[in-house]
Formats: sequence, structure tokens, C-alpha cells
Amino acid sequence: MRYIVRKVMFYGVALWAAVTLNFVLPRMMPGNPAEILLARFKGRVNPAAIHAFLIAFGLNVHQTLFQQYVSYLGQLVRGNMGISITYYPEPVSQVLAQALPWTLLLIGAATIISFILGTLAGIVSAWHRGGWFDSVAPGVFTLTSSFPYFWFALLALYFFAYRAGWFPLGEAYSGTRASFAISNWPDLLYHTALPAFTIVFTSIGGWLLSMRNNMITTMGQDYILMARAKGLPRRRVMYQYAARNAILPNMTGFALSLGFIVSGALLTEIVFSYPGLGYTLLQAVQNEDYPLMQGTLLLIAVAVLFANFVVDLLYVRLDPRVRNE
Amino acid sequence: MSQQELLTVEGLSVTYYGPPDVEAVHEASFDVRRGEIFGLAGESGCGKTTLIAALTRLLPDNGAVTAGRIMFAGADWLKLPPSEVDAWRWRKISLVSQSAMNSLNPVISVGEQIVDAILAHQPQTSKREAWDRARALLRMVEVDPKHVHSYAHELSGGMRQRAMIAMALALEPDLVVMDEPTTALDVVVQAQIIHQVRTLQEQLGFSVIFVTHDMSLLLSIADRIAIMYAGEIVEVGSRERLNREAAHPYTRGLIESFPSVFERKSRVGIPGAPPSMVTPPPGCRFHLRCPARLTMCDTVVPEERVLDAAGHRVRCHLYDSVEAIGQNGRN
Repeated sequence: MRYIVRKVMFYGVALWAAVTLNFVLPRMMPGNPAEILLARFKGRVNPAAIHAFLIAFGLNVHQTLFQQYVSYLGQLVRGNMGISITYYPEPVSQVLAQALPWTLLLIGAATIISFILGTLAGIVSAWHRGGWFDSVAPGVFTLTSSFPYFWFALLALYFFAYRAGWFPLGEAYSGTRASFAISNWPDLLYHTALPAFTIVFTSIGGWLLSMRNNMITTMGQDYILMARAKGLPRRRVMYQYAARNAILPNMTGFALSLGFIVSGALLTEIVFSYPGLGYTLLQAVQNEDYPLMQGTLLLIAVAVLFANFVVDLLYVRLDPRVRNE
Repeated sequence: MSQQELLTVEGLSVTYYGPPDVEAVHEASFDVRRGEIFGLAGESGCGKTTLIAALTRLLPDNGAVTAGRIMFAGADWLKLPPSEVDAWRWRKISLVSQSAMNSLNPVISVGEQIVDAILAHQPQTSKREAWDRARALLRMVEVDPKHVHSYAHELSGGMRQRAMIAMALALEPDLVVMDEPTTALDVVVQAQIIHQVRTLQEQLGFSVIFVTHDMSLLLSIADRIAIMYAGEIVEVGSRERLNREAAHPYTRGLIESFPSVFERKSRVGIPGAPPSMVTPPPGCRFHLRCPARLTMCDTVVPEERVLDAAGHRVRCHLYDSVEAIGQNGRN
């Protein structure tokens, strides 16, 4: 319990730091987002609207920095992150809310599948060390991991979507309106399959190799010898004794990659014109859309913290040793 | 093999395939009787643990038995197929391994590790029954039964080792192999655990192979003792016999190298270091360090001689003139 309280406090402080950095950074940048904004809308909006914008961005020039900070926090609590310039007049929170589910679906599914498959392959590979699977799989997946992702994704798109026509050329759904209704899932999967495959294919090698190495180290432990001496079924020795211990160091890596799901695989979303957060971030950068950039970065920071927090909780379940620390 | 013997090892050799290949155990022969504590002593690296691994059929992949056979509970143990060996494990032969610290799985509870052994071999047992037995086993080794739900890191070293012993007795095996079970513990705990083993062994009647480099410990608990040097068993005899008149110069060296509480005499020890197992010395393997070395020891491998009717055996040229059983061959 003390462990959990300590973790909650730690993540509270980290969250505050992320939020504050997000406030400070744009104000330390040369130039001023407001100037860019004004230049963009010159002559098209009245001064009252501009003033409203400035307040919405928390860039009210009549306030001290501290007052700005307080009102920024206040706005944030209410979910107000300003108005996007690219998608004017949509609020940033709305733009993000639209992009987030797609990224969660594509990158989330791909990351979890890659972790599970890679880990299982690593377990089998180490257990039958020197066997046929172990002499093929690590080599093959090290090779696929070293493919430049952009190149591989384009290749997959060209061959499987353009030439063979098995998959759509891009986008996340057919038609003009997105729907997460059950009836629409086949269509969503159809669009998600190829980009997800490219991610799994190029990232599985890392999980496989690290799990294999952890397994080999664990299998040298005395408790594995004892488990064999007890005459336990092979499966139990392999999973409950070896893999159960070997997976612990991998959980941290998994937490990090879960957090970065939200940042979207930028390249994937560009190649497959997938309307996720990575694509949104790219749009924001190209259009110098400061509010949207700020919002996206904040969301990524929060997601990384949240994913780490969840894995820390999971760790408590998996490793009894951290419970009474 | 008479009824009395539970385990008979004949001319057992074990090789680890390299490069270089290492013959870690060379033509070891001994037997373990029902209900006795059989001690196995020798310096680090002499092949004790390898011999144990061969006995429990837990040799690593690069190790193999190259000669000899083991008769265990009436079966040709090395010829049994792996599935049958797995079925015999823990029910007939169990192991208490070298380090209690690392022999328990850190992520599952002590009780679960006892229960899984019970359920693996007696699947008809109900879960509740198995857990009750786990508690009873812990109580038997004087560990509070509430610790069934504890994890290894929550127990002290002594408690862990007791838990390991409880686990080893879970299925009432005929033979418990203890590989340096008390080496990592302080002397007080060590004495308690040894006493416990002795008591349980008298109650339950199982046999024990007790492996250690601590000669003084063996002389206090073992019924019979085998001494190992550089992969060979150089002497086997009863505790009394070894204590009174050990035959092999190496055994005498071992016995003299531990301090006595009662006598103030200088400890002699054994000069030099154990030989390389890759290229063992020719002749008697001990000749380079032997205080009683003869010329022939450098080149001629000594035969094993039986010194008395109780089966006191030694592998040393000093006893070459001993022919008939029953004579004490010390010249």
C-alpha cells in the first residue's frame, strides 16, 4: 500500500512538471504565437475576437506571468486548451478527441500484439535453445527490426495495397463518416490491418530478443533446477517459473512503448494517411499551430505518465518483492 | 543388490563436453542404504555437485554419463525414460539444493511451490488438502504455517532452508539429496537444521545423501562417508571408522584441517591445490599433494581395496598389500 501511495505522489509531481513545462516552453520560444496568429488572420477578424483568442491561449498581455499560469491551469482543468489554428474554429480538445481513438486503435493494437507475439516467441526460442526455431527466429526478426520503417511501409503499401489490392491505400475507414459501431468493425479492421502489420513486423524483433535473453538468464537460476527436480510438468516450469520471472524486466520497456502509443507512429500515419495523433501533430507543426502542438504534447506527456503508472500497478501484482519496499 | 541398499552406483563417469571436454566424475562407486545418512565430502570443484546432478538426472545439456550404472529402488535408473523419471521425482528422490536463497521461485508463494509438487504427482488431491499438507509440512520443520502465503524474500535464510526441506519431504521420498544445505547459514542455524534433519530422518526413515565440504559436520551426523578427490571417490567408510583411523592420506588431511574445540593442536591442512580436471595427473590423482607418496604413485593408478567386512574401501597404493577382507592394511 505504501508503495502505491508513493507512486501516486510521484506521478502527481511528474504530471505537474509536465503541465508546467508545457506552459513555460512556448513562452521561451523566440517570437510569439500570438503574432503569428495575428498575421494569419489580419483583417479577417475583429480586435475583440483577437483579444478573446489571446485570453483563450492564456497569452493575455495585461496579466503577469503568474496570473497567466494560474488561469492556464484553470482552463486546463476545465479541458480548455485553446483553439486550433489549422482546424479553426475547432477547439484543440475536440481535434485531439477526434484523432485519439484512431491512434489508440492502430498503434495500441499493434504495440500490444507485437509485445505478446515477441514475448511468446522469445520464451519458445530460449526454452528450445539451439533448436530450429531458435536458429531461425532471432535472426529473421533482427533483420526485420533493422528495416528502415518508412521504406518498409511504402513497400508494403505498394505491393499489398496498390499492386495486389488486398488492402485499402490509406485512411482509417470507408466513406466520409467514422463510426465505431459494431457493424462497422470489419471495415475498420480492413483499414487497420496493413499499417498494424508493418508496425508489428518491424518491432517484434526487439521484444523477442530481450525476452529470449531474460529467459536464458532466468533458466540458469537454482529455482528452475528445483522446479525440474520436482518433476513438474514442462509447461509449468516454462511459464510459472521461467517466463514469469523473465518478463519482469521487460515490463518497463512495455510501459514506455504503451505511453508512446499516443504520440502515434508518425511515419505510419503519414504513409497510410491515417487520421491519428501523429498526423495531427504533423499538421500542427506545418501550420505553426501552437495551441494544437501544445495540446498534443501535453496529451503525450500525460499518456506516458499514465501508462507508466498502470504498469507500476501491474508490477505490484507480478512481483511480490516490490510490495513491501 | 541386497534389500538393504536403496541406491547402488557402479563405476559412474560423467563428462562435460567442451571444448575442452572435462571428465568431472571418474568411475565412482558407492551404495546408499535405506534409512541412513550418507555423507559425501570433498573440496570445491572435486565433482560432488556433478555426481549429485547425475544421481538426480539433472545434468546440464552438455554433461553426460559416459560409463557405469545406477540402480535405484530396484530400477536401472539411468535407463528409465524421461517421462518415468519425472513421475519418480519427488515421490522417490527429492533435492535440497545448494542455496536456499535462490532455490525458491521469488514470484510465487512458498505454499504454492509445495502445493504444485503435490498436485503434479498426486493429481487426485484436492487443492484444499494440498494446502493443508503444505501447512503441516511447514509445522513439521518448525516454521509457522502462516508462512505458506509468504514469498521467499520475506523469510530469513534459515526459514527458507527449512521450507526447502519441508518441500523435499512433501511426498515422503525414499531418498533426499542435500547438496550443501547449510553452507550459507550461520553456525547456530546450521546446528538447528542439522538436528532437525536427523530427527525427521529417524522419524520418517528416508535415506539422505548429504553433500558438504565440511568434514566436521559429516563426522557428527553421517552414518557412512565417501570422500571425493579430483573426480574420484578415494575412500568410503563408516563415520566411526573414518573418525578413528581414516585410511587415505587425503581423508586424514581433511579431518586434520578443521579446528578442534577441545585440543590445542596446530592445524595441518593439505598443501597445494586440487589438480586441473581437464588433464588429471597420471597415477594417483592425489600424488602431487600427498605426504605419504611412494614412487609408484606418480605413474600407477591405484586399485580400490576393501579393508574390512563393513565395506571400508580405499583407493591408495599404501594398501596394495591388503588382499583379504578383514585385515587392517596399514603398514
